[in-house]
Amino acid sequence: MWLKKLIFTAPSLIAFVIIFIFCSIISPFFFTDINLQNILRQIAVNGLLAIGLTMVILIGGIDLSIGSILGLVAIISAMLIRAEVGLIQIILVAIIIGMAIGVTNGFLITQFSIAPFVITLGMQFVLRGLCFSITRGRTIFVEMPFNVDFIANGDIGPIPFPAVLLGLVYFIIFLVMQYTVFGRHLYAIGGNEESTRLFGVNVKLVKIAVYAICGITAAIAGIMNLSRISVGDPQAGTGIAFYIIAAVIIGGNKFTGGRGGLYFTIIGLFIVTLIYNIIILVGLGYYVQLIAEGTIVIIAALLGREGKQ
Amino acid sequence: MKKLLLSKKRKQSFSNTRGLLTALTRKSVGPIRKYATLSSLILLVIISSFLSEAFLTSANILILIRQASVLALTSLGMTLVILSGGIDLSVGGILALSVVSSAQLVLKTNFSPYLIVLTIALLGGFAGLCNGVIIAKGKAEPFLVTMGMGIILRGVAFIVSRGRTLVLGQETPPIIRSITHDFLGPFPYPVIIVGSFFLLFALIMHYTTFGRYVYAFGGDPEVLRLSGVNVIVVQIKIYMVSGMLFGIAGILHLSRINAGDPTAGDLRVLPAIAAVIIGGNQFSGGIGNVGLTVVGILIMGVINNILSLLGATYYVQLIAQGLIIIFAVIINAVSSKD
Amino acid sequence: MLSLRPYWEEKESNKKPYDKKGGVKVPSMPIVQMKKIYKHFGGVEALKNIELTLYEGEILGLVGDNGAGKSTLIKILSGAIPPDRGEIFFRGEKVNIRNPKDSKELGIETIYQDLALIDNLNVPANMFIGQEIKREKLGRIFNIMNLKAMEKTTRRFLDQLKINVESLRERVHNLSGGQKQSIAITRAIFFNAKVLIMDEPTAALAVEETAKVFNLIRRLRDSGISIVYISHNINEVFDISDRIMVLKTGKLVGVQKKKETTKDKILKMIILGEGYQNEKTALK
Repeated sequence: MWLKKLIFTAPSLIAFVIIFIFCSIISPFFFTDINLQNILRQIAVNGLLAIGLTMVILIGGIDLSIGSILGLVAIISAMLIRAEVGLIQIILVAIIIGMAIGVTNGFLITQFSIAPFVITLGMQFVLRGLCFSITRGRTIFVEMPFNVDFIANGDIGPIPFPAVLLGLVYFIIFLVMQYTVFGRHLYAIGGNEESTRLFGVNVKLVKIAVYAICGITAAIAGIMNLSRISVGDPQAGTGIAFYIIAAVIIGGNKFTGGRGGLYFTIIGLFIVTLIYNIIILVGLGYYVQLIAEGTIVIIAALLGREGKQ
Repeated sequence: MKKLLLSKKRKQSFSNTRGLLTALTRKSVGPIRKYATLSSLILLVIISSFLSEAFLTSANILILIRQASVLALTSLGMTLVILSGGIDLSVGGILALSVVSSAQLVLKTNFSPYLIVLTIALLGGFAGLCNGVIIAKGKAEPFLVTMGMGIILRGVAFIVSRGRTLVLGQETPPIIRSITHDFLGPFPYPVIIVGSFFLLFALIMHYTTFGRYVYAFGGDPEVLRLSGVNVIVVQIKIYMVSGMLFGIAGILHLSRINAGDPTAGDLRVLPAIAAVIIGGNQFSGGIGNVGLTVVGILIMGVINNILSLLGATYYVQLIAQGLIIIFAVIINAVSSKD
Repeated sequence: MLSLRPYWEEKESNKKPYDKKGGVKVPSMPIVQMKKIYKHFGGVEALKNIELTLYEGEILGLVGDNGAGKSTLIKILSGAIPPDRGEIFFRGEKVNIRNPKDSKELGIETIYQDLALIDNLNVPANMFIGQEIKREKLGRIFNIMNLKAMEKTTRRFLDQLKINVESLRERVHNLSGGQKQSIAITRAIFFNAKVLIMDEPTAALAVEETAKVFNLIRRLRDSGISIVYISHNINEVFDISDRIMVLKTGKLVGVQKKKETTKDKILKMIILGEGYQNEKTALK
């Protein structure tokens, strides 16, 4: 039965359900329209980042630069809006920027066989520095044209537009990963890179493509961030990379790659967001959020390891 | 075995000073790795002295050293962990916890400064112990465990400080203040303290079995296990040591800022890793030494310093740091392919 | 703990692999016995009711197809993995081998197929890994190593076995497969091995190197060390072994004395699993 398959593929789903029920019981504000919509909006921005990052983690890599890509695209988009550039062009520019950075990451990683952690770490410094340099440390105020504003704040029926967008991107990437050869290669590389290479797969190209996609999703998230907070903030996305990594792993993806998928990531994102949400609703302090998040990461780390021989 | 030690048939392979030098600089690295980073540093210093007259003044060097001292200790701990093939992202959390805890100890108790240092070192060590046990016995990824632990400890830091920044003002014991501000002869205390730690660990890595096992673990933990070594204990020890060093770094931070701030250390993780990598240590472990990290720290310190002197904003420093990391690893990767 | 000469240079009186009764060599006590060994991985039964007997001063060839369980069995003996069920006896006494250190303490040294040395360490480091020479008094407390002694001793070992490695200070990463294997074998025999387990030791070796290794193995056997020799190569196994043990898909097919069997028969045992006489016959 498809229901059984749904549950047994991701034990984290059970955790999510339990947490959801728990939250509904604990706080009367939880199960309200406003709150649930807010949760969906939060998840949408992070969800875009998480989808790209999931692919990277699946092939056994990591990308610490996603937050800074988000920030860079956000401020550049803000400047473009100021210059009265249309939305379509802005989206195009954003995609190009994200892709360029992703390709650079992927190229450096594959060409010189350098740890992805270090390359994306360096890239993150460079991009964040660029963010501040371009804006001279100030935020860029813009008058949001309606279409840009709609991206983060509009609704289609009862569902916030960001969630729709996220659903769309999720659907597309899901199809790619499940039904294309490229998607199959992702899992293969994550499982055993050397064997995959020996089978004739151009591993380098696949990896570069994956980092490029991750850059693109981060760029789109940048536009959404701009729409959400209505200013181009050079600090946008600072530190978010670790948070997204946590969500991806908590959902059940294997840190070293080869197992998992978007399905797991979304669950993980929901779990983390719900917990943050409920802690705020109940009025516990910031520190409870921190301790809860840290504990969940460690639990996820323990659960996700390879079974002991 | 005694016959072995006393026999002088073969020429002695290491004299004592040569051994020490090896421990500090040459251990476990090929020629290109160690010369590339060192010559880059020298080049950097030379260029900087031309770019700004203020660079080589004693006042400036003092600033440079004081700024780099916290980074130095965190990088030292990070070096050990990275050499073993792992990573420790709990720097921020342990640092924050030790900063607020030592502030509270100063404010609320009359512990002697030495006792405070000892307590905080033990606290850091205990945090590292938790990391180590979960990683080694639980066989969980160091990245995730230390990340989670760092977040938890930051939360605990908030609890300990009740969310406020604890300003010390007059209450600081003079010794703690003097850690940053005083001198022993011509040398500022930070140099003495940091230098001693580096020297100690250089010797440990070269001359003790623990040090050797760190490298072995970074090279091939399974072969090490099959050789009869208790690798779980080795790994736990590594994280205990790094935790302890992060804790002591917190005290240095407290000494500089004179306040216990629970958000301290938030941005310390990545520079610590950067210093280790820029110096030339291999990120996947097994190759490198603490001496390389010193070079990495100095390179970062000099860059930050000269950029400040030239009036460049903090943001340019970020860009520079990022570019250096990338170039450093590319150079190392390319040069190792011989 | 550390013997500085290979066993064949020890005095005659120290080695007695065989008792002599009426001028005929009678095999002595089994030095190692593994009884009723079971091991499974996930759903796969890797070993089922395996018995292994190793006599002092003999070379036992262990053969079988891929997946027969040879590596698994010796990993249990060497402490690398624990068995699910079964007992191990050393010189007649029951022993509990929970980790590699336990088996080394008994004198069981293992040379694994792919895992020989630690690449980023140098030769002396690899030679003494896990049993480093320490400095006196204070050194013992803090585990301070005596690097000079280790380097010197390593050079001595290698010279005695005529193994050629130019620089001891370089990382072993650059050594050839044969050199690495030789170092691993040297490490095993100089550290008081009574039982030596070798898993495909000649897989990466050239022909002359293989001949050298075989010579070495025979000398070791003659000086009283008991050897378990795993190989795919029937010719090799026939060349070197005294008895041959055959596994197939985790089960014991049989044990034969080399003199009482042929390559063909052994091949049949490997491929078809045709069991021949049991253990007791092979002993006589």
